[in-house]
Amino acid sequence: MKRAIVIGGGIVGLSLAVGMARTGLSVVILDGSDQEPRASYGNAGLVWVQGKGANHPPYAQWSRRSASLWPQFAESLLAATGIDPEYDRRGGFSLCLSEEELEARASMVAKLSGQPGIPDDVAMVDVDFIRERLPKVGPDVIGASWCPADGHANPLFLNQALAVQARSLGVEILRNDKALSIGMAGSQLTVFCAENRYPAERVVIAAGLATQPLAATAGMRVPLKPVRGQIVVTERLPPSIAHATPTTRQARAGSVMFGNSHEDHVVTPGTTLPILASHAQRAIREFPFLASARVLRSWGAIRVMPADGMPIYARSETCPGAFAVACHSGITLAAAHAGIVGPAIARDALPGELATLSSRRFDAALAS
Amino acid sequence: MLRSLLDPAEARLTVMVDGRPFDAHPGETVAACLMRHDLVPTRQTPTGRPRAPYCLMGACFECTVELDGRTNVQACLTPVRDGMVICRNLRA
Amino acid sequence: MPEFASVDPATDVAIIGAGPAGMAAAIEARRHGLAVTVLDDQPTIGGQILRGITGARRVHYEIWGAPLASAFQQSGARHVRGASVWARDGETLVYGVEGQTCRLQAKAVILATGSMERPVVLPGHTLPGVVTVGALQSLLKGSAAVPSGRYVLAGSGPLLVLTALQLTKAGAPPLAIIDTTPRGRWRASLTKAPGLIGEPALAISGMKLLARIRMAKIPIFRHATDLRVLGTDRAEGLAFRAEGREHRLEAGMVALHDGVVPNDQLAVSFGCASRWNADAQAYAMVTTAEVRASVGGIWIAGDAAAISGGYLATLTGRLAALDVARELAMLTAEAHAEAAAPVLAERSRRLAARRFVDALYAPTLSAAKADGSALLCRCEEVPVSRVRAAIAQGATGTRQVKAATRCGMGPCQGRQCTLSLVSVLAEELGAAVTDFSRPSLRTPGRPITVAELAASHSGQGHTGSDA
Repeated sequence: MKRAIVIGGGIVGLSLAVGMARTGLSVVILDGSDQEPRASYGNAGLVWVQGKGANHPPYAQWSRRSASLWPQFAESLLAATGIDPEYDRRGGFSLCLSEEELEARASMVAKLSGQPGIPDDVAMVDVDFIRERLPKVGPDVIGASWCPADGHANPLFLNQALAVQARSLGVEILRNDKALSIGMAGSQLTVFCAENRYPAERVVIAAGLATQPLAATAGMRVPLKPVRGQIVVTERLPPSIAHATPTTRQARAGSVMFGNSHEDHVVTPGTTLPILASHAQRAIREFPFLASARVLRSWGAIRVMPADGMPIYARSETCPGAFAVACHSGITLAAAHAGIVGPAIARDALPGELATLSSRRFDAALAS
Repeated sequence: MLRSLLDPAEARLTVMVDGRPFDAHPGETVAACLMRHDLVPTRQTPTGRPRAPYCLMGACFECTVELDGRTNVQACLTPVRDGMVICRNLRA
Repeated sequence: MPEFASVDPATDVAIIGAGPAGMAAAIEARRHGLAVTVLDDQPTIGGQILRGITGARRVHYEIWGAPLASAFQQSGARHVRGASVWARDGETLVYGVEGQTCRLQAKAVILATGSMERPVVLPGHTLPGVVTVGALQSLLKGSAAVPSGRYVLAGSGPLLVLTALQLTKAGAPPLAIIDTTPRGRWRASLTKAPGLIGEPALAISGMKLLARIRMAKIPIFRHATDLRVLGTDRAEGLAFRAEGREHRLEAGMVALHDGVVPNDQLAVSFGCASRWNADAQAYAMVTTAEVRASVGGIWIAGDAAAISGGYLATLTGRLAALDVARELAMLTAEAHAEAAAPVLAERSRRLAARRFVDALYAPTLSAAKADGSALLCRCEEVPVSRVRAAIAQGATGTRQVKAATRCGMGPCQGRQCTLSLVSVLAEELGAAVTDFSRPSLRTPGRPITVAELAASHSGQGHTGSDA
């Protein structure tokens, strides 16, 4: 049986590992400890398409493709593992609280509409439309964009379900042997770790921010930057917010998560009061009932941001069989990673539809 | 489940709990007052299980009630006040 | 929009907690001319051990208590009662008083948040009518209330016997004491503390208490195991094994106790480092001899850093204040050294007995050995069995268990389950607790409303939506 090594046991690595293992490959995941910074534990859980790839239609199409696979993906995870990733696809809003926000949103929607291959379902909607679906919005909400294909999942349960499914497909998860480089030992593709070396037919680097330096050892250019996102979490509340927004979503357990911040190049996890207070101020304007809800925790997680914001899929020229995957939207793309990319990598190829999301775009940028 | 060591005549305050009046001693905490009148449970868990004051020092958050319109106040950290309106966190 | 925070006048040193450590720190800081604000979440001064010391005094307090409280009240320190601190924003502390958000700028912060009882895990421990033994103390000292019906005290630690005597004196004796301290602990513990010979007072006072229990004819069941609270919607009694057979005692209240651990959530949420203290089977905050925390501008005094009892807390409170006074140039290095030396010496002398107490009262009602049906996380109602299952499914650390079970995600913010969680992980994986990271805790250091968070800072506008 051919052996594949996946470096990174977060949601991206697990999704790819599941996709590869299904084709019959023997897959080993090299994962760090429970303590490592993990974007899989620190994200908003959105399965989101509106606004994604407004400047790059192939990314918009790819996000759509994955979102369309999500219902089946979530069902099969639940069936196989008994763990429900709690995917809800009821449509999502991006709420606007000022004329400026409304204008900016409308121009984005206009840009997306009419692009080839993308359903024309993102629309600007008025307050009546919003109130019918989100009766608890406040008077400051003056409009929104809306897309019926948007939804959200529980990233913690998704992570756990993928790990359980991976194990049931025979994937072995090894911890705490830090991968240092990927190279050829003679003609054998090999992962060199701190303690051992692992020969393999395929290697996929899906190690979050560590992907960039690891991919470089195999000649792949995967430029990434850290970005910190802070989120506030409330106590469990009765169902009140049926549709997610980029700033607020209610999990099935009832807790409401709010706040959407991006601090570029911050590498320390943690929170700051000015940003948390800003989150709370906006949350109360969006949903005034939240004012009396209890805040139980907050976190600021370091996430992965490709240099140009779009996912990067790389295939090594110098180390045949080595690949790298990095993206900001590991939740949205999990279904496509498990269903399309994993099996393709097992066949030693990247899907043709990802041509413009390949890391070659950075070679071109460098050349020009 | 509790009784007071104080002279009953000293219980000269009145608090309203879920719409009914109860006597209260100056200086006792809301949690002590609720337990003294056997007004437990004070809250229900998300699955509906009954809970009542447990640690009485602010660490367990089992005794949270609504006090004068403020939700989820720790009853064990709050002294009673005359006329205080207390609502237990119970779903009917 | 919510009201914005009220801003207190700036202070030299903010002390959080008005128990022995906080009061001693305040007195010492005032002695050196520092402006002091003491923020305490309790309705009266004294913390837990001296609760009610300024009132009618329904129990006998240790002799240093009343002079300390009185010196504190005359010290000129500003005392804010009912103040729950929940964030530190640069040099500013953010706290709430009855829902109003306040900001206080302080050059130095002394955390004196004391101890809390070690969380116990046994079937039925969340039923109404089950309280901690400390809770009975708190009710007696603070609210002059005692159990009105049959009740039992169960667990391990010196507080059990002390509380039984105090309540007996108040006219409410317990039905029985169920002592879970295992057979042989006394002898094993003595070997750990050769220093105890220099501290005979401790052992003698323990013997005296036991003699008084015998005189009061309160039954004691020793070396009890397999504790289970009876009842479905309310505590109806306690079942346990002792002397080779099963016992069932009917009681409307069951008070549990298994020692005390640092009440350190606020310190952790301020980013201060802690380490596992194997002797005490609990975390201890990392501090220097001058009780400085790992984060600049923060000192941790008393039991909040590591359990050593009320009197020792007054010593570390004084050490903290002396070091703050030196830091703020109110004391020269020489004057500081001269003032701190006797305090440091007394502290190290008295600490000798600590290892004996830690060993004698090591946890007996820990989740690691608990029945699977017992709730490990009270708030999210996670039984021990579900945590064990998550570990069996591959969870190797605290974050993975939390993610899989929601353990620690409720209103107590992990106060009641963190130690249980790491002890189960260590037990199930045959590892040391030090192999697991302590779950992180960020703002808020205690639950607040969204409105309070919104009012805590002017904010910096909407930070953008990218989706």
